[in-house]
Amino acid sequence: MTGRRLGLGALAVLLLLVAGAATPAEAQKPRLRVWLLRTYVPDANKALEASIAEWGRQKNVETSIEYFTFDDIETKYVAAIETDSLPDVGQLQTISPSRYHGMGRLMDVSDVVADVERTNGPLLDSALAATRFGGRFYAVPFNYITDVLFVRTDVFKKAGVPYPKTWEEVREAARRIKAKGVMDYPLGQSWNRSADGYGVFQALLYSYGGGWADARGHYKSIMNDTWRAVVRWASEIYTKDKTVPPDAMAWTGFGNNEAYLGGKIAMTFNGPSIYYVLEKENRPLLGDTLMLVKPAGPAGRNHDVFLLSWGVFNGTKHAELARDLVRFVMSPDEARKYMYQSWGQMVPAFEKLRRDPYWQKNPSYKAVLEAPSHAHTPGYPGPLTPAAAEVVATNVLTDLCARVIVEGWDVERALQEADKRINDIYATVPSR
Amino acid sequence: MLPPDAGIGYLFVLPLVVLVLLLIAYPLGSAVYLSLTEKYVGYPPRFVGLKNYVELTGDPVFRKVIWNSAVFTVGSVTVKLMIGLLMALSLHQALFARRLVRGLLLLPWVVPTVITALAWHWMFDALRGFINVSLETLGLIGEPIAWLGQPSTAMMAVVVVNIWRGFPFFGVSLLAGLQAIPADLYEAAAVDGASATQRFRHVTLPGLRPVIFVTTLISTIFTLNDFNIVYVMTRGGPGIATHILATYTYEVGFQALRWGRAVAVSMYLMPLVVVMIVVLARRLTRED
Repeated sequence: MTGRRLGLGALAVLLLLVAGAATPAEAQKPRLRVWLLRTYVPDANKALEASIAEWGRQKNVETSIEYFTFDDIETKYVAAIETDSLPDVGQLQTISPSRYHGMGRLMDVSDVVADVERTNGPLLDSALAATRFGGRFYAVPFNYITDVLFVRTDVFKKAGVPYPKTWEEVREAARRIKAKGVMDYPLGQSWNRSADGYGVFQALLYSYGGGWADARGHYKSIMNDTWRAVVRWASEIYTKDKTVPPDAMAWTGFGNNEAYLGGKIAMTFNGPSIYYVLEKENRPLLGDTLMLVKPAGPAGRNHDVFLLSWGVFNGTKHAELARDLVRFVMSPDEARKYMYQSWGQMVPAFEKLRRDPYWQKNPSYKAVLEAPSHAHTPGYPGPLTPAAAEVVATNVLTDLCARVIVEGWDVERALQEADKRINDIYATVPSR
Repeated sequence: MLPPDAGIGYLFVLPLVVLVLLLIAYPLGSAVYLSLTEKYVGYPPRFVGLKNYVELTGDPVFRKVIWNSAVFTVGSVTVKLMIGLLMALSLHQALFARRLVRGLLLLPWVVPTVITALAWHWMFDALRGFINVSLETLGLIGEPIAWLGQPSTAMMAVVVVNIWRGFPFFGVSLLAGLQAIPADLYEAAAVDGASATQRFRHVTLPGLRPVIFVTTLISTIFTLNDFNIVYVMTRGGPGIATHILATYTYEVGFQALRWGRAVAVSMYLMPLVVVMIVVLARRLTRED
């Protein structure tokens, strides 16, 4: 009995010694919390995870990765801001740097951007507009997920219609395809409460020369002929041309993807995720699909933007490590590894990466690469401000179209309501 | 003069009081306070009194949201009650494979709401959905109906899904109520020559009244606070045609980042809900 007790006692002492020896070393290893967007390209997600893990091994840092999706980016950050539980470093969407910098939550990362520019070349203008405020960078641009125009080449050929280069030609092409009986609802465009709605509306608006803010970022009335023309374009594809599937206004973010992949539409504006599915699964539709840069309007080719960037959050105990991690994943080798695993989905914002031969694979890849050079941030021609971000985030732009299409309001009345909402936002949004 | 063992009594009640204060009173009090502030995410709150409520009252979008919530709740609960009553009456009868049928009828309640909403979303799809394809195949419609693309049918669609998901709750509750009605009441009524309709009206319904009251009240509260079905199926669209209190609160709070206003949205109907809860609590206590 005594021997057994002695044995147990010795074992306990041994465990304590092992624990004692192990704990200080473990405690010394810093832990970095990283928040990432779970994109629809698992290969790219894995490549980024591997890159972060490699950095952790090299620096003897424990990295903890948490994911969010496109739908809950803001939800997760908003909850973290209010509970003071932000990560050390995280990916941000286009409107986030402006908002979180305004709240004083983001660190100045101008030095990191300067380092990355030295190796990867200069940034595109739209990336600057989304991450630089008052001459300082508060996020490091990572990649664009660009919106393009998908066309069914076989349908266009059958109808004898050329690929559209302007917004008017998009409308005309849809009308002709329908008139020739090739397809009942060729145009898959929803003004819904997702980026497929408010993103495309911005592209249409900016291409017509419209905006809701002036060059300094102050509210500007939308009661003018440019807006009237834009809302007419947006609504008449439903009410007059009837070239859009009847329930498109109720599509969620994936509705047009499904309709296109199901062969029900011949044109839609979307991120390249549709092409990813076709290419990865080698579907027959791949051969009949072409991605084009979104069309031009009377004021040129001015489009919306979805930019992912890296933010380092105030309050982190490991600011230098967080900066170092961003430098590492943005280094030419790591950035290329990620790019090559992205199936043409993740378009770099830095010039040298954009010149990579990877993007010359076919005309569709070239279109995806070109798209961000026409992109502008919300609030164009002014800077991206928290107020401009809120106009987009609260669906003012697409609700405007819905009032006309779904509720039968006249354009003037719908514009007046939207104008009041925008004015209210600009009058009340806080800023530092 | 307190009885001698009052102290020990208070001591026993103390944990419950602390729990109620921590878990109910504090969050509720904070919410009421927040709704009286101009609180923007990332910025400190600023007390503005009833400003949020006044602005909401004058806001046409919010008024539409209130109307939508009323249609969604009243429409759903009324039909759920009727179907639930039918379900309970059917299951109460001697029925072949009664246990199996009971199990099957409970399925909608068991399936996760998101799955339910996604499945129905597909069924209501205009071009590929089960409903339109079936109607077209049967020759009943010439061109697709945009169930989710028009305000009236979109609201009807989300109400249908809520009914499908929620009627088993009524069915099971009312079945329990039916089984508690003494059989001799029916026998006595039959001896007196009462028809089936009269037995239903004068024996079944009065016997079920307390259960109907409680289940309707609970379901009303749950339906009023429903979020998943509308968010998954329509996101409040088309336009704002199906935007209800829960989805609007989410939009104002997490997308506009205006938390004070968002809490005011969710608190707006609180007086009504409180009245319902008080009535429910009294009724339950009386039943006890």
